[in-house]
Amino acid sequence: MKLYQKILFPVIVAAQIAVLGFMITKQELLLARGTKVMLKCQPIDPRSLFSGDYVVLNYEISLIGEDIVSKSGIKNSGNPEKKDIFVALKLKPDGKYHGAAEISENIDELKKRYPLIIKGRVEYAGSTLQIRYGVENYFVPQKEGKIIEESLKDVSVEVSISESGESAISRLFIADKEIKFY
Amino acid sequence: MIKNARFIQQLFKELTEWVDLGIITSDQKNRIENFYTAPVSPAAEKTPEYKDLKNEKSHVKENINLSRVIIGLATLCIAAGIIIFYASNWRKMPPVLKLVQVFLLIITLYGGAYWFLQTERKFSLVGRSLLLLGMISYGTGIMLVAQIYHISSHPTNGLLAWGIGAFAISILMREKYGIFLSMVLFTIWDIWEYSYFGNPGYFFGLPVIIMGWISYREKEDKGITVSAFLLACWFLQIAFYWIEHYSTDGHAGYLMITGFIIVGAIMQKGGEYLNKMPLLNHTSSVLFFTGWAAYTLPLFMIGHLQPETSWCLIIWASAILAVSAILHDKKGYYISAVLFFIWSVTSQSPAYGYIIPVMILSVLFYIEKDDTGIAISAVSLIYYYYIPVINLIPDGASQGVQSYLIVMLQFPFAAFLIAAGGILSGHTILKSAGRVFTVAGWFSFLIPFAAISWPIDMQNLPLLMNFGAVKIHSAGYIVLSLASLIGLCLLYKRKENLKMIFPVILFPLIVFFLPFNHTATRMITLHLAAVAFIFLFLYYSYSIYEDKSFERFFTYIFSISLIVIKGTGFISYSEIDEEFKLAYLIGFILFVTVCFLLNRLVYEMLYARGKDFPVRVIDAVCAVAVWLSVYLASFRIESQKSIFTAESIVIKMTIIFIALSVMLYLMLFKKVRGERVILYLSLIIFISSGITLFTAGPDIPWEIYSVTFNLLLFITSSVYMYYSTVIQSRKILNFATAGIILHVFTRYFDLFWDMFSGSLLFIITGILGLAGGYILEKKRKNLTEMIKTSEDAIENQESVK
Repeated sequence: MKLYQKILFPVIVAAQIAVLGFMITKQELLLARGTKVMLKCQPIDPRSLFSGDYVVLNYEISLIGEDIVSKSGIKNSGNPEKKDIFVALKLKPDGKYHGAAEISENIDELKKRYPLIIKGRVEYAGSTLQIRYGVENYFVPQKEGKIIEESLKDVSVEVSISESGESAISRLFIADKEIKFY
Repeated sequence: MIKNARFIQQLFKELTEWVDLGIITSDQKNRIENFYTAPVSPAAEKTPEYKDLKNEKSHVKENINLSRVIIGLATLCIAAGIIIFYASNWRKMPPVLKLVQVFLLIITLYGGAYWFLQTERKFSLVGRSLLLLGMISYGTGIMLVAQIYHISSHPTNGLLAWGIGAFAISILMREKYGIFLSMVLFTIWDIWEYSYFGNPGYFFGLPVIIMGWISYREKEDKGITVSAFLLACWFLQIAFYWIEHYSTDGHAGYLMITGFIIVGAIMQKGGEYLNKMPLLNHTSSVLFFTGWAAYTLPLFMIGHLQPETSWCLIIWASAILAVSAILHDKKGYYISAVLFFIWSVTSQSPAYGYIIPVMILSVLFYIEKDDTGIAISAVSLIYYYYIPVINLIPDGASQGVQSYLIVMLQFPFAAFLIAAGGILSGHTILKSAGRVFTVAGWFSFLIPFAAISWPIDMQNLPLLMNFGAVKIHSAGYIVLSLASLIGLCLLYKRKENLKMIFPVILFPLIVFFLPFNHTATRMITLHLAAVAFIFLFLYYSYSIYEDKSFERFFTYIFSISLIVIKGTGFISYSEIDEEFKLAYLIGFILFVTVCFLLNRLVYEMLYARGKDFPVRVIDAVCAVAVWLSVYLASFRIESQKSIFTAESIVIKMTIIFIALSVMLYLMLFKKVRGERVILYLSLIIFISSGITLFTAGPDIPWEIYSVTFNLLLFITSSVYMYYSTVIQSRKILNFATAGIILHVFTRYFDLFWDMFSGSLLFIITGILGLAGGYILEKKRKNLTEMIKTSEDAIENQESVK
């Protein structure tokens, strides 16, 4: 090994570890500091090549209804597909779950009226909007996704949301009972 | 050879040193060497060192290869193991422990690699495999974090982080497989980002360029080629992204088209330039093809630039033309010529401006002295002629009149093209254009004869000489005719033989003053002209032009296609117009008879001048045509009207053609030498069909026609058979045999259909068919054999000579 290799080698390795560390820290901070909300969902069950089995969670707020979309006027500024979008959340009348209240491409505008805002990405834009928030995959030990699958109706998720709208899955409930795999 | 190969290699090296130092003698050295090398082969004694060292080397290489394979496989196994272990998300291990484990794994593997890759340790292979495993474990770590925290928002980020990490350390350590791994990761990342997240993937180029640069410095042929290929894909991807997002109708879109063409041209030139460098010849092909791909990119923009498709095409073609002109690239000229042509065809308004690119291209091709290009320009010019001709027809004109006008204008245009072709064919550079004009001219001349020599209603056709509603066309007609006359004068000055061209140029001038909307005038003119031209062409193409000239070829095209087209027309009319069925069929027989006699006349005239003429080509066509007409007339044809009740034009035409035939018979019977049988046959058919034509009427029973034509058909087939033995032609024999079989069978069904019950009919048909077939086959075979033996005899004689 040449001298520069001897020096740079550990630097790059350290950088790689730092990347991992950064990812972990980011998620941990989000989970620790973010506001917790409950979302209702309906799961299905595919598999990822590298990360094993997971359950796809489809939330109520994954589909934004026609009334909210037309009120926001979001379609006036071109096709919103593949763009980031912010969704304001408010507690539903049942006092437990959160639902979508309003959407906008600008977070500051929503901040004035709503305390809780989650960031997502428009998957498909018709008269309604299909949105992904990045909390749609719940990884489970191999072949254990069935437990969730069998009780499709009763799954709800506690999501942690940061000030800037980033979100992470914090806990998963089936029939109001927290499920832990570890 | 029992010892380790590396040891022997080392030993031989040492031995030389020992001799130099005087420890052993060179004789002793040889003996030691022999001791190790002797068992290989007895011949090895002569040049032991060289030969065996070589042997050893390959052996050594094999050893290394084996260890490589083992270590490689092991590395792969471990890598897969690591990935699968964490992917299985083993539930008995809490996430924190897994994370700690991954960190430890990464540090250990990289640490091991660092240790083994130190120069003083000779386990580089193990070190490299640990390095690769380190990269894998880093990627696994990223996946593990995503798994533990259920991160799914932007899965490509993880891939990118993995790719960058692996790439950085691979570049640092020059680890080929690591670079390969990171390239795969980058490529997946890029495709995923582009297709799913709509990211243009600008970043992708950076690692690829670095890889290319490193490969070039390390002289890694494959690395260079792969990075060139990836760069090409990157370029096309960005180009498509731009087309998708930035190509708007207007300046931006047009600028982009130009940009693509310029980049494409640079790439092609670059490709040509790099081709000379040994290490870069694959790269040069990649670059070259990418350049071509860039030329086609505007095609994908057309959808974005609607409705201004025509501008898009013009700019596209112009850009290619300009760039090619700068680079002196002839291929580019061809492409732009094609694109301009496509534009002129697709353009919604008449593409009068098409002449500009055509002229520019012609000049460029002229400068380049490019034969093909000049021919292309000639074709484009011919095509351009039709743009105003078609578009300037007055709006009120009906569809029929439009096409008649265009057909009429073929006459002066053909004359002009033939004259121009004659003039240009003498030019050193423009001769290919001359050829195109000549060919196109002759074919144009054929069109009116084929298209408007029918009793169609052309009453609405405005007269050309009146300069009425179609004055532009009349003027054009005159201009073209005069221009061809001038061309004729120029050719005359050059002392060329104009006998074949002159009538073609004169005829359009006559046509100009004829009332072609009058059916009789048109029919008589065109038919007489047709047979006259068949005669002239046959005669002059063989007396003036050399063998294999286009004029000779065209003569046959002209005569045969006229006979075929007329035949198709007459027979179709005979099917449609049942009452004049016989009249139409006999009319065709008359036409063919005239053609046949003219052909024979030309043969006799040329023979008198001592020139060879292949008389049998047209003979054969006429024979088939006549046989077919007689055959069709031999069916049961009832209630025919008298020809005297038909339109006057029919009678006029009939009389003219009969008169022509009689005149030709008289001339021929004076001149003819030998082979009279075919003339007699023709005369028999002519006379009997002529009589039938005039006697036919509603009162005549159908049996008379039937007997006449069946008899004629039988005579015809028999004469053909006989004639085949006279001129020793197997083709005619086969044709005549087939004819007789067809004749007998159809007649059999035709006449006796209702006399027998079905089953009996078929049994007898079968037996007769078998017997008849057997006899005919036997006879035919005998005849064939006879011909063959006589042919063989001739051949033998020739070979003896």
